[in-house]
Amino acid sequence: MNATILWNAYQGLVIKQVRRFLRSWIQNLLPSVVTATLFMVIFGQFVGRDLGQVGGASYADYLMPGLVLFAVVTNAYNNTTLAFFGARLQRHIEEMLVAPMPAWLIVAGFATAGVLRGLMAGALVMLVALPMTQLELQHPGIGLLVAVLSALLFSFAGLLNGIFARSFDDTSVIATFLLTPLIYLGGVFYPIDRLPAPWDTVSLANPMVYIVDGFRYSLLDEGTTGGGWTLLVLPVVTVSTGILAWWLVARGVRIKP
Amino acid sequence: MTDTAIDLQGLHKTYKGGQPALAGVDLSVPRGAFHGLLGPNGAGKSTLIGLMTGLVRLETGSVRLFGHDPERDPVAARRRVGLVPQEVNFNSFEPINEIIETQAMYYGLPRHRARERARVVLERVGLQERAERKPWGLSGGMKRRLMLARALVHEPELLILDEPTAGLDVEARRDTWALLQELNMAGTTILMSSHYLEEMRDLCQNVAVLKEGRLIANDIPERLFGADAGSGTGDQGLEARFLRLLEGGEPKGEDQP
Repeated sequence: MNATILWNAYQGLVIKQVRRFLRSWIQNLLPSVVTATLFMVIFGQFVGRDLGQVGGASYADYLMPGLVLFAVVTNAYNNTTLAFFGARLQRHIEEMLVAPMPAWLIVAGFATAGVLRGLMAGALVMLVALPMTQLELQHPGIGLLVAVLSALLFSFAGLLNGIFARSFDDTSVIATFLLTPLIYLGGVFYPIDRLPAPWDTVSLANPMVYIVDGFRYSLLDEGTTGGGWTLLVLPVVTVSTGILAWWLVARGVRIKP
Repeated sequence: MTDTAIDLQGLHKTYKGGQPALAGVDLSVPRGAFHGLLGPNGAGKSTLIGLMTGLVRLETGSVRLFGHDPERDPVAARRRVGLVPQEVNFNSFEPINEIIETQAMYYGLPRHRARERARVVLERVGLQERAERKPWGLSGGMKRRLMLARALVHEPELLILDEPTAGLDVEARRDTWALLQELNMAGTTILMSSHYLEEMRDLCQNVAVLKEGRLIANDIPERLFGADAGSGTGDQGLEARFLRLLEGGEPKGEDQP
């Protein structure tokens, strides 16, 4: 009985959130596709021809997995940040708080919608970028696992941003000043072992390195860490971030006076 | 099965850096009652409602709804409760029917049943013509009706209303009264806060009076205001009697400390 009630509540939240981002799909899904296409055409096709082999592949092939992951994580992050902050701002988060929805269910619902948007954006980027490469999926299971876990991690992280944000400015500060540099410096555009010391070592502290590397491994069968680190680090960080988000929502931080 | 719908014991609440909003409130509302909650601005009415419905963090004391602790057993307790808050708290970017459907699903209804119930309650409050539209163009009264429809969608056994008729014109207020009386006659327990003394006198079987976070009276309207109290502003009018009650003069309620 309780399980059915909770399942229906979870579905309600996911449907609401998916409808929310699909209602503005031009604003929510297309920018990633446009950006990735431009990167593939300019860097993959024009500039990349002069670069030769990078990380054991053509530059277009090397670039594409990073761009897909870029779309996955930014979309997952932005979705939960804005959805949760919007719910707080307009106070319709109260619709959930008065209902028989435990905190973990609220976190799960928002995170699921973030994952779905991240995966949709990633799939669209892949669809557009794949014809510009010679890539074949080498380890599809690992690729899917890394994409889902990355989307989940950044959905939880976006939720933390949505919980603490006090204004719309706060919803973009982390994405602009932390997330984007981490992604750009996380081996999307170049192998980190080509960096001069000490930056090659410093880069190992960037979690995006492992995420991008694992996903690249699934497509190219090549990667700096061989995908092993990704599958070790990613689940631990994801679960920890999820627990933190649950704890904050359960305590009513910035939600309940 | 308990005969008590609401059982509040020793509720204390102090907001950060403020005066105590509630200072030890005990209140019991039997199943099937139409109970009023009266008090000047800042008396603690909305805080009391917030504590019952999970919108405000409980400090000390206990809340039991139909014998269940809403924090420990949200499904058993909250599923039976509907809330009409004082301020608008729905998503203005979502169509009206989706607002209601989603709320129904949050309360555990399956999607097909949520759709059906949304249609029924929107018809009941006269908003069926606008079901597909977003609530931007709704008047203040229509917004209140929308919130009432949302609170009723899962057929709650207990309906809690925080100043549901504030700002409504006479006709809309009377329509709301008729609907509430109809629901109460059908067995729904109602707890309603209001500043309209006539509303309290004419609708409620019992009225709890709060002042500065304390319950100063809890009695039938005839004993609180006097059976002969008129609606005027003279010495024998409702307003004068209510002010005397707040000042600690006669008449006193049975539970006055």
